[in-house]
Amino acid sequence: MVLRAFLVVALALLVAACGERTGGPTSPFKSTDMSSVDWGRDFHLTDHNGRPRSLADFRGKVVMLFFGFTHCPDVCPTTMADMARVVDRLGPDGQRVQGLFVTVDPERDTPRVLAKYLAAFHPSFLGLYGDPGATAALAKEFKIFYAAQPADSHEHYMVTHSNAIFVFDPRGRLRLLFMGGNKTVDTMTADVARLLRE
Amino acid sequence: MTIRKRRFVLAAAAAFLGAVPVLRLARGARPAGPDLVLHARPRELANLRFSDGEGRPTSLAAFRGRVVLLNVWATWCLPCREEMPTLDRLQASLGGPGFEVVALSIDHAGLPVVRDFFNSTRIKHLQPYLDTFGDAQSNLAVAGVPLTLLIDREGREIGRKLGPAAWDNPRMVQLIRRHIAPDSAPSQPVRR
Repeated sequence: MVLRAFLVVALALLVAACGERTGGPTSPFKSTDMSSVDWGRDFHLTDHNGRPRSLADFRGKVVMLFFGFTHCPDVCPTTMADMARVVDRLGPDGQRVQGLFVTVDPERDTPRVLAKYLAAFHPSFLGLYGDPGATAALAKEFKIFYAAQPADSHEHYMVTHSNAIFVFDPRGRLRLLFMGGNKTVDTMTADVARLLRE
Repeated sequence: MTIRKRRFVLAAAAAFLGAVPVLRLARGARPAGPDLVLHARPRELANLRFSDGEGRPTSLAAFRGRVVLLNVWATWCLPCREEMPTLDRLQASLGGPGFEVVALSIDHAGLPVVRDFFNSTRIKHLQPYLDTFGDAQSNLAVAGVPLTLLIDREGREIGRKLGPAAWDNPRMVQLIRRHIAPDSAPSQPVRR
């Protein structure tokens, strides 16, 4: 079972590597250009205020989408904090940016937990959740895979987790992936500003 | 849902995303793990600007001449919250003219949430500092918190640890004592 899960991930790696185009000399963006991929198109989830949400709700805005969980692991990723700084740096244009946090642990990340967590980063940010089926569907659409790690007797369990942010342009198309060394507040701000100017 | 089933619930981002650190989810975990890693030789550190508990701008340079344990943290980070009492106790026992624990929050919500947390956790010896200018996050390449740096009297980084620890353990106290020069170390613990 575990082996099969890892094979699936390995396959995803190959598929993704073929479809991915990094921002080369022809790309005006500093981060990974995702314009050519045909996945990561939409989501259908509920926000922490109980409202159904899909990408269409954020037309006219650049959307930054991050998958995570509030029950913090040993080292808390600072991605959401960075996203808040990008919005701040953009000044008035920051109102045309929507930060979204999709929980991959909907069982523990209740709307109330999400609301409190998101408020710690930025008042405009929304936490999104779905039932296990919707979460599974979304994981498939964004090439996010379920980790198969045994829980120990204290209910501790391992997860594999990435700090990548999916970025959609104001027309709702997946355009960029903020990840790795390019994921600084400076480069993210520059790329989001460029998307807003298009 | 059983634990066994639930272990499948959390998602792994696709492997193409590059380095995929394996993180441990621990409910009610205690700060643990190895102490900070000492560098072979001290590393120069860019000056960090931040603000103090009264909102006044200050910086790492203001601590020159003292050994500093710089802890970058946030109230939304559970391991950070769990290790804070150990930092408070370290400050209680070693804080003074030769040493200070600088707990630097990267909370967007600012000083009020930090003060609330300090009050509710009965943190008494630490002063709240805030990464007002984003310098800590920019200059220290903070990918995760808690991030803790041991800084010598010349303002150079001599060790670093990503992740929580029990900062008041005897080994750590001994290590820091060694770096506080004998001439500047307080003979008695100084309480602020």
